[in-house]
Formats: sequence, structure tokens, C-alpha cells
Amino acid sequence: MSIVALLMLALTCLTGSNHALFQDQAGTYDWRQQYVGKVIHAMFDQSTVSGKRILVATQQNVVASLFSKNGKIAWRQIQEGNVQDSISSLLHSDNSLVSLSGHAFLRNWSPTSGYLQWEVPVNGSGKSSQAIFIEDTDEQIAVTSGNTLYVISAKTGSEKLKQSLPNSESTEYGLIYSKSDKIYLVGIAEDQHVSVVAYDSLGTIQYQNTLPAIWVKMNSQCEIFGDNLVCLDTISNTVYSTPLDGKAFKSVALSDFGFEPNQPKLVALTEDNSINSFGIIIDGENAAVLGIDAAGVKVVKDLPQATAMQVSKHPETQANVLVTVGRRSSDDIFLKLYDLATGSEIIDMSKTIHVASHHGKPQKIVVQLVKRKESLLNFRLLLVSDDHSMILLQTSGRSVWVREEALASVLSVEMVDLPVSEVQAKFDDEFGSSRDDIVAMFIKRFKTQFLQLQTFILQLIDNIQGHKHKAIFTEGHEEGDDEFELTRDNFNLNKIIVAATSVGKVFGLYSSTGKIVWRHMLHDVTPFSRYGSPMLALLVQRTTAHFPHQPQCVVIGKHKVTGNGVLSVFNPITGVPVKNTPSEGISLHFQIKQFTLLPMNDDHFIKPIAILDTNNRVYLYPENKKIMKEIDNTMYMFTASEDTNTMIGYQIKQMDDELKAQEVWAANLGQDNQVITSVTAKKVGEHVHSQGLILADRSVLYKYLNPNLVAVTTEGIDGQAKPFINMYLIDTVSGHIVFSCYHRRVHGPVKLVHSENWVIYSFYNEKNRRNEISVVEMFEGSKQSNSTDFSSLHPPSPPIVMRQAFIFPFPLSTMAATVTEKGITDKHIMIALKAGGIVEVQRQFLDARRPVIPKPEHREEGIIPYIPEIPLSFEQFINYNQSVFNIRGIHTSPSGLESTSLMIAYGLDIFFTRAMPSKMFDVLKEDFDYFFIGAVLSAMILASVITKKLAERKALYRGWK
Amino acid sequence: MASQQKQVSRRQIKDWSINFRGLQSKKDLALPPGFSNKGQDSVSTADATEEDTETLIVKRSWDIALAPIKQIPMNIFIMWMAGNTISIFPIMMVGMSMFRSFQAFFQISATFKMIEGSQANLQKFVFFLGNIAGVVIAVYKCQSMGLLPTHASDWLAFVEPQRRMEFSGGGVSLS
Repeated sequence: MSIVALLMLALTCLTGSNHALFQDQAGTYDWRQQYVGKVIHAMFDQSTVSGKRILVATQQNVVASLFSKNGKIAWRQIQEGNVQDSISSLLHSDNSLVSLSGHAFLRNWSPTSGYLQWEVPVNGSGKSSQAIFIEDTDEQIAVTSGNTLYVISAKTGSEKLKQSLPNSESTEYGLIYSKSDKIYLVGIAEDQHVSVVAYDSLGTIQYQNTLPAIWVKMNSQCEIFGDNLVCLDTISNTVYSTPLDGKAFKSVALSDFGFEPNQPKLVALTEDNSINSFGIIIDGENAAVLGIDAAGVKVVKDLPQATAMQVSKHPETQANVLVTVGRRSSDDIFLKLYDLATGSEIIDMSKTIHVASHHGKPQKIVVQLVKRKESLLNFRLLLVSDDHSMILLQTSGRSVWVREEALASVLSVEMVDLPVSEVQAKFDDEFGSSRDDIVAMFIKRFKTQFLQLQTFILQLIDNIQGHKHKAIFTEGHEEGDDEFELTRDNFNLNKIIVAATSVGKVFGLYSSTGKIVWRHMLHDVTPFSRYGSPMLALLVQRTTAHFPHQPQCVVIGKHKVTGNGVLSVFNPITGVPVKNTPSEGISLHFQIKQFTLLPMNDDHFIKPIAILDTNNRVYLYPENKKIMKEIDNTMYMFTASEDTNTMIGYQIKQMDDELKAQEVWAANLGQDNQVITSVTAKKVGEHVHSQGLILADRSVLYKYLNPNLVAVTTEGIDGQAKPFINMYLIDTVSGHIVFSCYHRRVHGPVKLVHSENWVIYSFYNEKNRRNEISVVEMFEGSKQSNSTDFSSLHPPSPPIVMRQAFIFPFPLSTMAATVTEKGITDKHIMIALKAGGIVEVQRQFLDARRPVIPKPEHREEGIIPYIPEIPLSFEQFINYNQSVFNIRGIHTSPSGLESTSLMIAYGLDIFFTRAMPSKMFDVLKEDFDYFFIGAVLSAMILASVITKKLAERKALYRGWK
Repeated sequence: MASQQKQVSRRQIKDWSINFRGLQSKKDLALPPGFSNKGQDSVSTADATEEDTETLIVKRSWDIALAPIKQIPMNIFIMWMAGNTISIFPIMMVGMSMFRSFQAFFQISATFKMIEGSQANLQKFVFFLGNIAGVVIAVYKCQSMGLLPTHASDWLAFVEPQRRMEFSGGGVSLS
């Protein structure tokens, strides 16, 4: 009973420290941006007023509807699974929007509201699937899921027909086409043949044929255009075509048309592929439209420089109009319209439109032609570019809105301090130089103080006039219209968020509003692949603290073509590449195996990056002889190979003016088919304020703070076919496994936070079917073996390891720990839930020392007794109702206030807020009554002066008596 | 206060007797009117009181010297009653007793002037010891209340982070 009471007390005390947001605080310092991702299918909505909305399906498994007026999301539905490109078809007719996703579900959404009208599972073993409306009815949908044909009513979702396809074990039916009451299915048997099967509406085979095709591959580009099947073999760059009921393929090499193909691509000209022509992107720069007739494939129109095209019906004549776009110069794209039948250009419609160079080349267009008054043709064009951005263009050539969808695929984030204001900088400058004589210094001081006074008065006037309303974030306004001054605020709470995205586009966002300050496209950069997901590194080489030196950031990726490393060095405040570096980044002449930011500065306060290449040579960027000498023998690097599941440690040695990495240890973690699933080091430059914990008897339990420690997790399947996880803590200098633990019957994905002397990681317990979080803490004991230095080569005795596991009530997608300037404030764990919430969990709950049987000393220390569940209250959801989905990472950054940590969660959506783990202990409360306290103070001073006067007078009178 | 008054009056007696002695040496002068020879006796009694005063002085000095020691049991009792929780009253009490002992040390020379007699040195020493004991008790109280920085944890804030002797970095192989 007493334990329960104690527990309740402890819980109420602790949850009290988790301050919730008040209603009027919502949105004052947090913001959310919602994205849909890279568009793969798009069409103008036909259900309401035509063209008011755009329906899109994206690579991120999202089906959404956007207002064509402002680009805002009308509704958005995120489908399950993280498989990229899994929405294979998107169909739209009057009142239905049908998506086929993940080869698992055919779903019908209401185009107006986004509500799910019905869903049908269409399970197929295959990797390819397609759905179409059966011609002329629009009431039935035919779906192939690789090995099964389904016919489904569009209205109710009821299954009309389910038919297994012939030879489906060897043939993959990925294409479907409907023509005059017949459903054609095209299947591919790799390296053998292409099968064509036709069914009638009752499910009986009407036609069956196999066309020999030894060149055909599973990933060959095959499409049905009109009544023809067209395949593109990218190895020989040959186009194969045949009528659907034909007997054999006719082949024609692309070079026969005079093209110089380089990874050509087939492009459908209409959504339903009903016309007998198709587009082809020849080499990423030029395109052509090819037509198919009885004689085979012929060139209809050569389209140099075009990279995206579509055919749209002329609203009046119903003629097919071919719309093509391509990049003309770095700042402009061109738009050309042709009559598809004659191939003649509609000259009065062609124009040049300004589209900034950072958008790259157009990739996809969706056009809607409308007839307006004066028989002029108007159009609305949705342009999807290389950088995943969506731009809606109008007839006038004006872009109505821009959506930067690259921000849905942010890979890494850093927050950089804003520079101090000009006045402040001058002030710093004054104390910086000692060369000036007294008079000059006095004049300088006078000037700066006058300037300060001036700005203060201006600010005061501004405040009085109430001009300081907040800029409200508006999604995608090209070229930031209102310039705002980028200077640091008093508490350094506003920063520039630098975000590197998977397309190689780097953004600078203003942290208080989320507005895009700058963007820079690295056209040649592609991310590395790590555990099968993309990884682009972003490092801060020089912070803003070193005035007059500008801050410097670097993005590390690899070259799209060569695979060699690329470094893009830029100023994070402006996004401008650093002087003497190309804007496309510095192309290295080697492949990057690993890299690390060195902890020491060079003479210009730049932290060099050590890059390990595949030949175990180490390069420094920027090169520096002094640092080369400094790191000789004291610098170590390690790599974990995903192929061999071994970790290798290297010592870096200087050998005749170059640095070499010499292998010093190797650890094979791949025994029993284990796979390394994560390697997590501590944050670089993490401040740990307290070196130990104070126990109830007032002795100290020193933390085991090994800066070279990394947490490695491996997953595998044991002898009883049950999954397991191993977690190793490895000293990367000596290769010593400091600690390891084994979890039976659990599987990943493991999400891990590694900070100070603890590791927190989550996994899924298969036996109990729940998510669990395990905490491991390491202590050196009551004595520090060496209080000044930490050397991994002379390590302290093995740490005391404490661990505990807890049940976490929700599936989670990622975790991070808050960081603050000095590390004095408590650390909280930010957990992004799959359901859309971000929860702030106190470390007290995730404490490995929580006792099962609490003793008085535990209470004195404030340790909560162990209970398996981690309680979550609504106040802990720091994003209140601003749900964010598919969160891939959370980045935390210190602010100028010790109490405040800045947090940005990124995934499909972006959410930014401040976290105050120990409340605002260093700031006066917002409701602090300055006026009242000021008034009381001045009244007291006044009263004391008056009473003093009165007392003196009285004493004088008394003296005279 | 009372002891001080006594002291003053004793000094006055001393002065008077010295004056009378001075008078005795001048016997050729006529006795003042109304002066009786009984005064001669009083001289002899004055000799008797001289010894008496001496013991009195010693006694008084002992009183002064033992005063701090006498306070100790009371102090201990009060401190025991105050308990070890850190709140304003126990801290005030400990502070007061500390302060008093230190004050006594500061005024030790003035107090020593008052201590006279044959056992003065011993008394001074006892007085000193008594005050030391007072300080010790106050310090002990501080210690038991946890106000003294005697544990490792009290110095934890000053422990510098360990310097890294080696640096390492890396991660999953990127190519």
C-alpha cells in the first residue's frame, strides 16, 4: 500500500514537471509542414469543378488532393508500408479515385473528401501490378497482381471475377489493357518470352499467345500503347513492338533513328495509354515521340532538349495536343505545343517560362487545356522537376505556386546559429583589436554606442506601433518576398536549419517560421546507401562563433555517375558555396569509405574532415600539415561492413606526407548469420556537465564516459527460427567489446539513442507482441581511475553495467535525446510514434537504476520504483494535434538558453518545436508581473526617502525643543 | 552584568584602601573631626579582605573561564532538539552558536584582560578550550546536517570532463 502511495506521489510529482502547452501557445514557437513526396501519378480532379484540385499519388505511398489555387493539401492519405514507388496505378473517374498500392490493396477514395470508400485486398506474389478501368464502362476495374486477375466493381468494391493466370509460376503479369470487352494481360518470363492472354468478362480465355523474347528482363520497360505492346531493352537500346494479337516482336534500334541513347526511358503520353504513340527520353536531355503502325515504330516528332511531355485533348477540336517542356537555360524552361496528328507546332502557345535553376530539369508534366473566351487556348500545367518540386504554371507563364517536395525526403539536418547583428559585431570588433590608439577607440566606442541607441529607439518605436506580427508560414512561395533580417535574438533561439535531402537539394530554413531562406541544388550528388536507406552527410565545420569568419557547412555525398565522393562546402546562413569551390561541389577522385569530423580546429577555426577512401588512404579537407601531424597515431577510424558484417578499426598514421589508415583490429559480428543493423556513436562535441551521480549516502557514482564507444546492434535468426538481437558496446580505438547483451525472440527495427553513459534502444518483442525499450547505463564506480584523461588504450576497469527494460505502449518510428548548451539540464527522450505523435519521455522513467523493491535511499535520490510500463500522458505529446507521419529522424540542437533544446522531426512531414526538459529555470515566467514588481520597488524606495526626510525633520524639531 | 558591577566596586575598594594607606603614612596630621581610631581596625580588616578579594578574583575569573563550557550541554540539547533537517530554525541555531563561539574568539584579548589572579593562565586555557568545544559542536552539527563539503559529491561540480587521449570516428562502410 505504502509503495503504491509512494509511486503515485512520485508520478504526480514528475508528471508535474512535464508542462503542457496552453491553447494560446499552440503554434507560437512550433510549426509543422506537411508534404506529399515525389509525385508519380497526377491528374486534375474531374469530380467537382474541373481542375479545382489536383490528385496525386507519390513515391512516399501518399494519395492526396491539392488545391490548384494555392497548392495546399485538401486531403492526404498515407498508406501503410515503407516500400518506395509502391503505388502502381492511380485511376480517376467522376466519383472515385482508385489507387493500387503495395500489390496488396486496391482502394477507392472519395476525390472530394479523401474518405476511403472501399478497399479490396489483391494479394499477389508478384512484384508488378497494374489496375485499369475496363473500357467504356468506368464501372469495373481490372487488376493484375502479378499472377491473378481481378475484376472489381468501381462502385461497391465487390469482386466480380478472380482468375488465376496461366503459367503464373514462371510468368509475371504486370500489364493489363482493356479493349472492346476483352481484358488483355501481358506477362514476362525472364529471358524467355512474353505472354499475352485475353479474357472476356466472364473469365474465359479468349486468346493466348507467347512471343519469344530472349532479351526480356523482369525490369524491362514494357508498356501497352493503344493496341500495341512496346518493350524497351536498355542493354541494346532497342525498341520491340508488336500488336497485342501479333505473332512476333518487331525490333528497331534507337540508333537507327539517329539517336544516341543513354539509359532511355519510355514515357506514356496519356494516363490511360489509349493512343498509338509514346514518348521516349533518349539520354536525359532529349526526347522524341514515336508512333506505332502496321510497319512498326517510327519517329513522329523529334524533341530536342525536352524532358517531359504529355498529350492532352484540345477542348474544342478534340485533337490530341502534345505538350512538351524542357530546360532552355539555367533560369528558364521552354514550353512547346504540337498538334500530334500533324506534328506542327502551335506557335502562339509556345513560350519561355522562368523556373529557377535549382529545380533542375522537368521530369513530368500534367496539362489541362481549357478554352476561354476569344477562342484562346488556356492551360494549366503541373510541372514536376528533378528536385521533386511541384510547380503549377498558368497560360501567362506565371507560376501560381511551388511545393518543395524534396523536404519530404530530408536525410540530415543541422542547426546553425544566426550571425550577431551588425552593431553587436562592431562591438565585438572593438574589443577584438588592440592596435588602435585611445582616441580612435573612443570614437569607435562612441559610434557603436550611438548605433546601439539608435537601433534600440527604432525597436522601441516598432514595438509601440505593434508592427511585430509574425510572418505566417505559407507553403511554397517562390522567391521569399519579404526579406527579413537574419540576426541572432537575445537567447539564440532562432537558427538556420540546414536540411540535406535525398535529391541532393540543400535547404536553409528559418527556424522560427520554417520559411525557406535559401536552397541549393547539387545536381550531381546522390546519397550513399546505408542499411538500404539513403544517407547524405551534413557536417558543420565552423560555427558562427568565429566572427569575422563565416560559418561553414559541408554536404558529403557521392557522384551520380562516377560514384566518387563529392563535397559541397557552403555558408549555412546564405547557402552560397564557399569561395573557390564549385557550386556543384568538389568532386573527389576516389570513393569515400568513411569520413569523420575532427575535433580540433585549424588556424581559421575550421574543423577538418578526415576522409577514408577505399584504398585506406586518409585525406583531410581542408588539407593541413599541422593537423596531420597532430592526429598522427592518436586518430582512429572504424568501418562496419554491411556485406561481411565485420567491424574494422584503423589507426591513422602519417607516412611521407600522406595519411594512411592501418588496420589495428577487426571484429566479426556476423556469426550465426547476424546482420549489423545499426552503428551509433555519441554526438560529436556532446557536453556532459556532471561526471557522476550523487547517491543517497552522498558518495558519487562516476559515469563511464568513454568517448570512443559505439553501440552496434545485430539481428539474426536462431536455431529455433526465432529472431534475436544483440547489442554490443565497442570501444572503437582498441576494438574491445565493453559490453554485449542478447535479446531472445525480439526483432527490429532497432532504434537507438546513445548519449553520455547510457544507451536506450527499442525493439519489438515477438513473444509478448509489444514494443519494448531497453536501457543500459554504465558507471565506473565510486572512484575514477583517472580523473583527468581518458585513454581507450589504458582503459579503466570494466564498467558497472545496469540495465532495465520497459514496455512502450505504442509502435515507434524513431528516438532522439535532447541536448543543451552545457548539458546541465535533464535529458529527455523524444520518441516519434508511428501514429503521428511525438512524445517527450523523461529520463527518470527510462532509468536503468529504477529499483523493483524501493528503499528509502532510492526515494531520497528521486528514483522512481520500477514498473514495466512507461506511462504516457497527453501533456507529453509535444506536437499536440499536429500529427506528423513517417518520421525518419529527430534532430536536437542546443539554444542560447541552457533550459531550452530545439527539436526538429523530419520525415514525410516536418515538425519543429522547443523542448524545456527541466522547465524554464533560467527565464522569468511569461506571466512575471514586471509592472507590479517595478511599482512596488519604486514605491518602497520613494517611501524610504520620504520617511528619512520626515525622520530628520522630526529629529531637528526635537533638538530645538 | 552583575559580575562587571562587582568588579568595578572591588576596584573602588582597592583604590580607597590605597588612599587610606597614603593617609596612614602622614601621622603628624590631626585626625579629622569625628574620625575614630577604629579606622585602624579597618586597616587590619582591609588586609583580611585582600586575601578574600584574591580568592574572589580567582573565583570570578573561573566563572568567566568556565562560562563557555557551561553552555555546552545546553547547546547540545538545543541542537539535538533541532534535528538534522535543513530548515530555517536549525540553521539559525547552528549559525548562532557558531557565531557566538567565533565572537568569543574575536574578543578573546578583552576577555583575557578580565581574567586575573594566580590561575589566570589555566583559566585562559580553559576559556579557550570551552570556545573550541563550542565551535566543534557547531561544526559537528553542520556536518550531521550535511552542510559541510566533506563528501566527494560536494566537489563533483568541479570535476572536469576527462580529456580524450585518442580520437575516433567512422560508421558503416559507405562503399
